[in-house]
Amino acid sequence: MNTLVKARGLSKHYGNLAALNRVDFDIEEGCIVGLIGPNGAGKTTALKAVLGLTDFEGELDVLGHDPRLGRHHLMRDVCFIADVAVLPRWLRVANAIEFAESVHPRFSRERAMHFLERTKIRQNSKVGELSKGMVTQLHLALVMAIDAKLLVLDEPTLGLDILYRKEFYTNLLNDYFDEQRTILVTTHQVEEIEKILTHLMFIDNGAITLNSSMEQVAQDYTEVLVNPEKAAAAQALKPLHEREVFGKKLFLFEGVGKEQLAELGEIHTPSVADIFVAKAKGGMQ
Amino acid sequence: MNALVTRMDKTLIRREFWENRSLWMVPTVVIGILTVLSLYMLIAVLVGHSETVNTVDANGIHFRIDNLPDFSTAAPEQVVGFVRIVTLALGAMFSFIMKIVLFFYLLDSLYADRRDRSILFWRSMPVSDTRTVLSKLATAMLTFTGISFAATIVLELILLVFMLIMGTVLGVHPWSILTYPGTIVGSWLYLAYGLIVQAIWFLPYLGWVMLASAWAKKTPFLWAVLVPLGLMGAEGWVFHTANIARLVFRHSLSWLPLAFNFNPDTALNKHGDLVFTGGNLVGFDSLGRLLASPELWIGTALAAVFIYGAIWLRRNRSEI
Repeated sequence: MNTLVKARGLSKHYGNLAALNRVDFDIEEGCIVGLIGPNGAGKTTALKAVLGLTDFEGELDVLGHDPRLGRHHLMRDVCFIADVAVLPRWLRVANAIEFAESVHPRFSRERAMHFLERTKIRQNSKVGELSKGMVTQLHLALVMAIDAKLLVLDEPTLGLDILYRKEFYTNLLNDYFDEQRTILVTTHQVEEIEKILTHLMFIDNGAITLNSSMEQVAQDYTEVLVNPEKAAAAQALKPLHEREVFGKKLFLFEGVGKEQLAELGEIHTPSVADIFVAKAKGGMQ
Repeated sequence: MNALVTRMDKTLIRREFWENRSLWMVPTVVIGILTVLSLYMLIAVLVGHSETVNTVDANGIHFRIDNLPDFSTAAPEQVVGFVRIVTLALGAMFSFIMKIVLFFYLLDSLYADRRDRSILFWRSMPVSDTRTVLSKLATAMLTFTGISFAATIVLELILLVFMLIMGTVLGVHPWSILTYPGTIVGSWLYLAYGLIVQAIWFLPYLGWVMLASAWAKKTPFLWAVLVPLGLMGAEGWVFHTANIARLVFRHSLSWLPLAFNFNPDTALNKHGDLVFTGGNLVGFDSLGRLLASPELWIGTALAAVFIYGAIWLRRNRSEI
């Protein structure tokens, strides 16, 4: 497996505030990595550093490039959707395709047309005439028509209604993703992407608090629904987090054997959101 | 890929025209309006009311229709001078219009996409910031020379047709103008030369406006205008001098007597009308004078500094 992104001691300060504080991480080829964190945790800063859109301290290698030097070389292999609706309102669909075709060596007009055929977007429409969901469809079609090694998505579905959001990830998974491609995605709507992720990275207060594969996460984290009489036994195992549900106690454990926990009650694999909340609260205590 | 201008560059320049329709719409509308006005005049002459539209005011130069020279008896020099006045006056008008259009184009050139955040889309493409900024500068220079030139010629040819008809009606034998085939084309060469000289001469102004556009977090207009005005004001307040203002305004006119054998003191006759004689407006002497002028090179060096600054800001400080 190739390592596409390698960060060592990656830091970024805004004045005295450390948006990223000596962060290390690797991103391997063929993964879908979810970068999850609260607002202001450093997610966007990390993505910007990877994309060469911001300066930083420390080491960062993206496909053999230092992103600070020569963003335009990097962009042949990396593409990104930074936010919704960043396509300019005056741009016509046909012109957007023409532009990408002549400046991007890996852009395929056929692929873009193929994706657009399934939408209601017409060639002579201007971006300003399209709905927000359609603009995102267009942007995704443009990006998926690029044969890039790394795709970075920063809140790609923000502000879209649920139909477009579902379709966005379905298209991405069915029409784009394969072993040669890698996707790095941040979103607030964790539950929407949790099923498609292969790797999970938590970022909080400029530090990475979790970084592992989804299989590893499922092994390491267990949720147990415990009757009140066994609560003390569960607490003795040092749960990461506990809360009450219908008169029972729900405990979240990290690194405790599943057989052992099964004796206390009903076990589940926790959702990414629950793990995140538990980790974030653990950090605060 | 190693060609000086690649397919990418052509697309970058076309992109500017997709976004900024005013670059070609404004001169087109001006041609349309002046054509309609001239047509009205022509009709007035044809139906015998020439005295009502006797004087045409084009960019400060007055043509009295009944004073059209009789081309059959006029000296060749007079005809040449007449054609040059028409070409260069129209050229001056369009170059003035394009300067205003391009001022607003450049103000927005490195600001509009930051304001609507579409810069993130443009920067997701493998185009360097240097190339992007230079494509916008190239668009401004090409538009200034190319569109001013084309608009002048189109309008002049329309007016020529009208004048031939009108002159025939007034009996001044205008068709003999066509027996000087070099005259009109020759005046177009002067026009092209004058526009190219200006495109280079005004580079520091172009660069300054682009720098303001790349710098401003809002209202690049205020940065582009108030900073120079502030410097002028500060100079006046501290030193009681006006060197900056003099420099800026002098530079906007000083190219003319350098690039052309044209003396503003003798260009006006005793009636205050602009007169061109048939002599060579441009020669090795004027070209040498222009290229030897430190003002040209200092201005171009200053432009390079401004444009470098705009590229640096685009690369490193593009967030609003």
